[in-house]
Amino acid sequence: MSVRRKKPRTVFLLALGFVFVAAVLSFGGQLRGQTSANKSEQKRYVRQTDPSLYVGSETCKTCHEDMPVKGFFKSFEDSPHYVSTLDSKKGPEWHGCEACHGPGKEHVEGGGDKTKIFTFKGASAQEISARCLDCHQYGEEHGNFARSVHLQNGVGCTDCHDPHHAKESQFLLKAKQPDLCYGCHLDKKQQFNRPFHHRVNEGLVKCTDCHNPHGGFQARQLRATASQDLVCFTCHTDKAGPYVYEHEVVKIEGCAACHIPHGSSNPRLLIRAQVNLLCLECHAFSADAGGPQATPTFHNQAQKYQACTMCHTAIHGSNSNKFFFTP
Amino acid sequence: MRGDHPQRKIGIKHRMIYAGLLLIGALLSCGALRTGAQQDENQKGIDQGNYNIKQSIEFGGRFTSISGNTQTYDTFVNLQQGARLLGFNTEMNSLDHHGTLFDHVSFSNFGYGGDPNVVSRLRVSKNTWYKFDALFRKDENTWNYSPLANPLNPTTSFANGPPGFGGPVCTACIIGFSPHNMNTRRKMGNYNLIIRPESTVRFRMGYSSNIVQGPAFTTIHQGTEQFLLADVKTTVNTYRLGIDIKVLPRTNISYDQIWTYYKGDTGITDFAQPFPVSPILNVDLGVSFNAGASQPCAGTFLSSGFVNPTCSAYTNGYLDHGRTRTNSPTEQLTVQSNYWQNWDLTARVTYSSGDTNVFGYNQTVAGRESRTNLSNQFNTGPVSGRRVAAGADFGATWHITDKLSFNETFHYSNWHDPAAFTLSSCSFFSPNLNTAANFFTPTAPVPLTCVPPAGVVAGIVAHSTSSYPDLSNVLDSNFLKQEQKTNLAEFDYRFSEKYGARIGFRYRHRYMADNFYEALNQVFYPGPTAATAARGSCAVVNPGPVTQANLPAGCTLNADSSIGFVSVPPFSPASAIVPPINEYSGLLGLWARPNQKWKISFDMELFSADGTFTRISPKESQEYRVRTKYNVTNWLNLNGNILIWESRNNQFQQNDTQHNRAYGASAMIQANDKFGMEIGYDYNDVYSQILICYISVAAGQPGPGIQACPNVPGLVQQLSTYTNNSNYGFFDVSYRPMQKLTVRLGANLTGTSGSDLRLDPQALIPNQVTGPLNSKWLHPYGGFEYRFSKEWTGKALWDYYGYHEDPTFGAGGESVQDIYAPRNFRGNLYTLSVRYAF
Repeated sequence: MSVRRKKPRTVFLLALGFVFVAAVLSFGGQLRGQTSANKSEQKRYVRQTDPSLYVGSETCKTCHEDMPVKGFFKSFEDSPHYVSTLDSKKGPEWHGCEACHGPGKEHVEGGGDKTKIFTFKGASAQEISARCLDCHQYGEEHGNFARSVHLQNGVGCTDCHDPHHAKESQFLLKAKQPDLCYGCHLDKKQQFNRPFHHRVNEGLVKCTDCHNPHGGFQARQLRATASQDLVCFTCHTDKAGPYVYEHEVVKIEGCAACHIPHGSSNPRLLIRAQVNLLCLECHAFSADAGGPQATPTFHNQAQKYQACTMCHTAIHGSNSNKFFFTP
Repeated sequence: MRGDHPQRKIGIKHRMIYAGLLLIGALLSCGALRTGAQQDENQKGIDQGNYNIKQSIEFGGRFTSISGNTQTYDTFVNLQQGARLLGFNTEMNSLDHHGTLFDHVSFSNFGYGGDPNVVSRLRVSKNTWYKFDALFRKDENTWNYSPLANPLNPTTSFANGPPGFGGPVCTACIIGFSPHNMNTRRKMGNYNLIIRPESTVRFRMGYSSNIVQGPAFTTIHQGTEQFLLADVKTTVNTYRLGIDIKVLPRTNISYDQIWTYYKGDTGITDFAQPFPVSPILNVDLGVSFNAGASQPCAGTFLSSGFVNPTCSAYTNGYLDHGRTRTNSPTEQLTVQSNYWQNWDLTARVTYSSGDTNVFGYNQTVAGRESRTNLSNQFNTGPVSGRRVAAGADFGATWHITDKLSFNETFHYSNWHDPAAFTLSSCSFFSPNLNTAANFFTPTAPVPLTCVPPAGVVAGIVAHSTSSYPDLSNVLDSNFLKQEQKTNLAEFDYRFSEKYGARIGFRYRHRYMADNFYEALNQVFYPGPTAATAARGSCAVVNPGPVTQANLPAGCTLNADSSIGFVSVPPFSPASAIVPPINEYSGLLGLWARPNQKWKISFDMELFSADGTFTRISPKESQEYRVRTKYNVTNWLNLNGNILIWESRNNQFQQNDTQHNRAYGASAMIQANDKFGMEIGYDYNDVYSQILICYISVAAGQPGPGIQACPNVPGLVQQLSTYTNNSNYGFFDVSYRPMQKLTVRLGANLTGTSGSDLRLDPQALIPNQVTGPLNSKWLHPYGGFEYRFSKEWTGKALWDYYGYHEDPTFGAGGESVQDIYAPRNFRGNLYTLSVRYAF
């Protein structure tokens, strides 16, 4: 017990120490060089609204029609971002190239000086994301990106999206799913190449069907159903219930209590190769009062079956039988 | 019963002829070969009117040669022979971005013609006016991995058994398929429309459907395991209306109204009737055939060749059907704001209150359950329930300084599922399968009127001491609830553009309630003697005569010798079945971009809980993740990751420890525009151990040296260990020796080795199959594509799918299932296609 009590305290003290050091470093840096704030990082990306600083996309086109690659500007014209040039209500800071790269007047007057305009190459994930989110941070999809695991690990928008050279026209992705995701999540590629797997490699299901790569309130960046239930029930609708006779673990702990969602060498993507062993891991003698019942003495494993689900067919829940014999 | 394994083979010669014909056809259809082939990305399309149109179509055929277990092949791969539409794409873009009805249309498809996965996507948009997105997917789910839900019968022969069941070895006992196999189709459609997507107020509409239908098989445990056919049909329709309002600066308010409607109309009937019990009646003996264990019954077959009529079996009258309807209206309000300069705020509130009902529930049993003498049973009754879910989420990022920020995420959810079933059950009993049941006419009042089925006549009822109540009204009510609050607080600090770190703490509090309430109103009729009525809930308290005084509380001995039983236990309010659980996690993360080419991140989570809901949930765990990408040169990219999860639940008599460790690395080489290669390897090590209690008794004795399970008489206790070590390697090589020709070669190779506890160490029959834990799953492929002209490309692709299990158990090294119904297969697929693009 004493070990358990110490851990939160240790973590709390560590956090306090971290904050103290971070604050000293941070404020110290600010005091040393107030002038550097505008040069590198800002708390928030602030769009400059002076129209005289902007030159418009057509001006950009004069140099960038085929630069840095042939058809560069045409690819922009064919992209969803071109829509921004059609909005006549907003100011020039929301239009075309300069909506992302910032005002271009100095850049033009400097003969194409790259230091006079914002270039995404070399910028930090936070800086890049701040610019993108200035337009895209609305609704559920992107609303939590600032707190997402991806951004916290230095993965920004342009690590997955490429506005100018997208391989996937939808969402301007750098590569198709799941290859794009496998680029970092190699362990998931291994799982989806097991004999039993969700049809992700086949193109039927996408990683983003279950996960929101831009973050959210659920663990593992998981999505939820329309009625805020487990995301698995989006497709496996017959398992959602509610049931008169619930197999409680399904609802309380979720499907991953028994299944490996991506892929497995075990049938039904179970976490154990034999169904009986999986069931017995919970349905054994339990020191917890009120825990699941132990297996009855007439379930002789020397004679009975390898799968408890042979009899307990409606294992996810039943409306007609408390032993899950019928649905 | 043994599953057939037809060899889907066509001769190599014929395949080559087909391939040649298809290729020649493609060549002829594309006309004279032209030079100047261009890459797909340079596809210019044609300008027509105000639109630039790009199209491509790829069609062809698959040729297959599959040997081994085709059921497993269908489960894993299911790509079959025939003509296919392998891809179709259309893209239209308005030249001036002011099209009449649309500025952009894209329509893409693949899989039509017989592939198990079919996808169509349509996207239409008109600049600032609307966006429409439609996605249709069809999935053919053929699932038949034979050991699952399989009794794994031994080959002990049956005396007097029919062909296959008699003789020295019962080969027909071996079931070469899964009794729970299925062949269903899932059709999913998603349709979403956004009106005025860029405006201050925008509207969203959506509809999605999910239909699953097709045959599936299942079993029911009633006497033995009868084989049933399920006609699966479930439908979910979801309708969504939403509005986004961006009136305040840098603030978006969204409101969604969602309605989900589920319909479950699956019906189940008995499927197999192959055994005659008399010259006029066939019965289903189920799928369990173990003569040594008297399954399905002792002396299953008579010398006359007929089934022993005292056996458990079903006739063709079994039916299980009900119409499940679930409504789930949901409301959701989301606010996202950057109104204050240093704050990013997101909040969401959801509320869903739905109801579920099962209408017309009807379960009809016809046959015999030998233990209870049950011959006919009718179960019916309404089911009603609700699902209420409320959620409140809040996320905030406070940019304290340029480098330091504080993230706060709070998640609250509270759902409860109350549901009740009022079961009315009428049971009729018979001494054997060839004798009709008798019914008793009560004179005492009864809670339920039962109409005897055809052929059932008045007479002495053949009850046994284990017979069910003749009449039964049961009210079962369940209440399941979980409330959880999660708070995550993190400080995020960027030391520089190159380095950053975060530290945080997550707390989760869970409260669960699980209440079950049951009220019984039963009647036990007498027969064959008056004393036989005293059974089940009304068995006599002490050996002796059946008198009111000798019956348990709630039982009433009636004048007609029947016994009524009423049980209404007091209802207890919701209370947690386990104490509330508090979980604590410390989080630490570091990321670095030492230079533009190298990125590495590390994060860890130290978890501790004061309780668990299941035995296999950890009380303590540590998770460490390292991911890195290194762009060594323009032509070489390296990736790597290390993921380690260790957990424990060292509670008394659990001794649970687990780990999941994965180590992977890959390299992507793009030497020039002619040669590219990706190669990688991943090792995954999964381990688990936990004490379990079970019973395994052969010859009346448990296994030697196995200790008894504490506090559960009759069970033994052992440490159940599970290991699963997987080696996965892949490579993909693309080579273009000349402008028109591209050659591709690759493979995905997985080898799995592992072990688990054998639960029946002293069983005479080697009936445990651990195949998946000692298996190889191989998918090499290769092919080439030749660009005949700017528009036409010919493709030839070969895929090999191989699955091999190494049996490890049994006296001879193999279980009977491995010998008689192995799951191994080899499949060669040849896909020939042509692509036309303009």
